[in-house]
Amino acid sequence: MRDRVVRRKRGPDLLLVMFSIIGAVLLAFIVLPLAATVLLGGPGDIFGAFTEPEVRSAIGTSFAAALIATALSLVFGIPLAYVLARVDFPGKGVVQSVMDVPIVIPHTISGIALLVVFGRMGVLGEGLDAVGLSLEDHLFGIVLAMMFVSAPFVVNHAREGFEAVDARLEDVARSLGATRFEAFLTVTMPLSISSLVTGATMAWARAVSEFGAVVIIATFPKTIPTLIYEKNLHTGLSESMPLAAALVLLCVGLFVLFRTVISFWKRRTEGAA
Amino acid sequence: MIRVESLSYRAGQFSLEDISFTVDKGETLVVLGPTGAGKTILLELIAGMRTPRGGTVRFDDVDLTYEPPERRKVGLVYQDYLLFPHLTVADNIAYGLRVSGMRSHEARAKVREIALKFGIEHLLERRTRNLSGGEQQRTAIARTLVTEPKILLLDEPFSAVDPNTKDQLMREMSDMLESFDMPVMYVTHDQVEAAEMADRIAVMNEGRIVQIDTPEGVFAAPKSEFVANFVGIRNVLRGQARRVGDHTVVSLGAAEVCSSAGIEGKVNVTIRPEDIIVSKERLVSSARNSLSGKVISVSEKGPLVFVTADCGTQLTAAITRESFRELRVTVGDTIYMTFKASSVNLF
Repeated sequence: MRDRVVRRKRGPDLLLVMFSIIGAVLLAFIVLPLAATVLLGGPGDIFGAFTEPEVRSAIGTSFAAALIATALSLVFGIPLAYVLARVDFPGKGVVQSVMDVPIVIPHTISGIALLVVFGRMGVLGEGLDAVGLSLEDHLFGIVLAMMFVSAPFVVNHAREGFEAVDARLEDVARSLGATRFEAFLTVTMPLSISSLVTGATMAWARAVSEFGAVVIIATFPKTIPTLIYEKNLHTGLSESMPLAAALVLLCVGLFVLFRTVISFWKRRTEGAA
Repeated sequence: MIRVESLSYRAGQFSLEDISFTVDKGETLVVLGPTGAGKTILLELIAGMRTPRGGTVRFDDVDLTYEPPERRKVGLVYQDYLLFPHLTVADNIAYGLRVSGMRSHEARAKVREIALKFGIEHLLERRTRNLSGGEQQRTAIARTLVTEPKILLLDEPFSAVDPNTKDQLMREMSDMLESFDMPVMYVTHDQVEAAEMADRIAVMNEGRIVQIDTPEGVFAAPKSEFVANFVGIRNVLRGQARRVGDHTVVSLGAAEVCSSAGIEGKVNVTIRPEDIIVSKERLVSSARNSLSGKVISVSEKGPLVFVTADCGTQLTAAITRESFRELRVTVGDTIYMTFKASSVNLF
């Protein structure tokens, strides 16, 4: 007797179909407003927006302040992340929760909290004033506000990156003659570079998009979100739309670029034979 | 020479107590013990990755007990080799030279030299992830030896190696260690590996060294029940080997056995007890060795019965309880012990 091969055609996976449809609602909810802003802004007006001096200056302020905030977060966040990744100490959970607080509290509160300490009337305000660093209406204030809300991304990503590097690799490096710091620089850092870059990118993006904390501390120099808020308040939706569209395109464009570079880099460093 | 004296260490429930031994230049000390005995921790204490609670570690009479790893010149090769995954094989080997300030062209020349010695020069530009276990092992050892350490510590070096190539690699490693003429500590839980690699064996259990002796001493005269049970009753013998045709004949006292290993001269011989077939009549089989002798002892251990007979040299066979009942072997009986030439291991 010959074996009969029974071929049963499998139907579509209904669960996945249903979930895809439901999920598409959320996707549409995000894409529609952004797409509408860009499309209704009108391509001519969008490019026009970039030529306005106040727009250019806002873009400059936002990008520069976010870059400085990210750099400062890296300088202080990498050592903190390394300690959190390598040492078990009592209260470690508390420290980690504290680093997440800026993500959970309303950003306006972050702004007020910063003023309480660093503002002109604040605890450290006088000292800062004396060295010419005032928070209010100063790039320095914008940088601090951005750093406050974005540093957790650096610390969390860096910690995860460091945790993924076997501590014994550092031991091996040291037994080959490297100092503790050399082992960190030549083994741990290169091996967690993609986490560090991801963390820095997230922090930078978060800093650029920050409004609440920034506006409490400094409405000048204007950042992109502050400028859009003012335009919308004073001249209405139709006037602020081309600018909003321009900035959506700019931010999304940059983010996609970052993502592509990171994933390309990851593939090159991890996938190479 | 390395001298360890009354070293102790504690971490949580685990402790090492009163560890003392020396390893001379050109000597290989095998640390043999079950998982969890503290073998790896002992190596890490010597390499400086952990700080002992008491005792001293000296190299050539210089006290290095509390020096950081980078100031010890102790080469430690972990069982998973821990090659730097972001570097090529060449950069892995060059790592220690570069951090100590050697110029890159000098380092490259040294890397090439040691890679030739280890037969990995064709791998130099490769990344480490696609290397076989044996290739990773050689890279890791080369990376350590190129820095000219004062002692080489090997942690279970063959645990990640394909069992089929293990025997050959072990022989190569044995020759290689001899050529470097430095003190070596070699950790394993495998008795056969220990017998083949060791000049001396330190048997470890629960954080203590329970016996330290030559391989013959440990296998033939275990000083405690733990050692006896752990090393098992094994046929570890010394003999004289000579080539006869396409095989090797080894004289063991009054007996001669046939081996498929191709070594001549003074040799150590191991035969696993479970490879020996016991019978009351001479067996007609393809096995090259069949020796007759009088049973001198029978001992039962778990599911196995160990039968020791004097066949011109003492040999022990392990048989199941079922075979033991069917054979009805008792002390004083004459039996035949049959085993293949390939079961006779020489080193």
